[in-house]
Amino acid sequence: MKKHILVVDDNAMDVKKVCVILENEGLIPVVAKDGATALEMIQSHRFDMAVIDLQMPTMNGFKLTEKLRAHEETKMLPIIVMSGTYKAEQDVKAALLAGANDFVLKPIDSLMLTSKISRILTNQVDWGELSLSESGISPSGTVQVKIEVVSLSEMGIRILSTVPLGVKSVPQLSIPLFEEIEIPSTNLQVLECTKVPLGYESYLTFIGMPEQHLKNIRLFCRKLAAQRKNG
Amino acid sequence: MDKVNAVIDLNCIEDLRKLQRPGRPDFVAELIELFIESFDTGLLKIQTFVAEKDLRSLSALTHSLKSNAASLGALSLAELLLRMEKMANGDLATESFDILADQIKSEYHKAKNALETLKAKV
Repeated sequence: MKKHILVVDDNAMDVKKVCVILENEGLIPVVAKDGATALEMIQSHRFDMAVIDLQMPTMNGFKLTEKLRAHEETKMLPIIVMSGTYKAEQDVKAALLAGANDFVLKPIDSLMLTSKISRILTNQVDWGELSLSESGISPSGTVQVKIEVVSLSEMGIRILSTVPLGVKSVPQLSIPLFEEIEIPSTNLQVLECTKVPLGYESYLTFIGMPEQHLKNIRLFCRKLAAQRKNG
Repeated sequence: MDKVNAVIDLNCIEDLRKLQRPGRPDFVAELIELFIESFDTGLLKIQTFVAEKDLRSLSALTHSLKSNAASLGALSLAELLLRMEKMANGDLATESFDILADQIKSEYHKAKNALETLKAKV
């Protein structure tokens, strides 16, 4: 059965673009122009995912995400927040805290959006995490562990570590390679973490990565591939 | 096409064209129409919000128009709108809102002409 995607955005051009991208993927977009309409729609429709703009009048994307998480019917609804913000790092963190699963920067890169949607729709499982904050405790601390980056793409990185990384967490990583290819700071979210003979292998996805930084990764990968080809 | 190229990043248009499906309305032409519609009303609103010093509305409007400009590869226009959005949010030292509004208007007309040329060539 075709999946129904709730698209919440007041910008007609972005709505048009997102709808075309979704339709091309065989998905059915259902548009709400503001948060209040979206909340009404969820009473009578069942959606498989919501794609929500951050900046909207009266109710912004953060508030709408929080409200959807508070509803019994939508507390597990996958949510991708999108924005043309120039404060990406700050807004990505706030969106994840509000309950979003992922974040896409505008102007929307169709491949990026469809990859993220596909990943979420094919991995709709309960990860079995226990929320400590909901249990009334908030322990904190830091740990420094060495990691090895084994692969890189525009979607994310695969790393090896001696300790497991929490799925869905957004760890603070220091990777000199990123500075070399001029990616000053970025958010990476752990998508999966599995035990391997020498430790743990984790796949982390970039969240809210600006196009310029994606371009830097593309150039780096092409350069490396060319070097390998030339011996 | 050189004139168009100077105002519009044609790679953005090319990426949008890849989303076109046979038998469907011309997607890029539809976006260009929405772009013109949003700016024809948006530029008047910018003038009003600047005159009324309504920085909150100015920030929201320039944020939205910036996204529209960037979507169609009008990157210089998007950059000017980003500057105004930052100024309205107090994140950039204030130059003259009026001068910036005039620059936006001028850059928009260049982008509009270029996009209409592209639309006519389809």
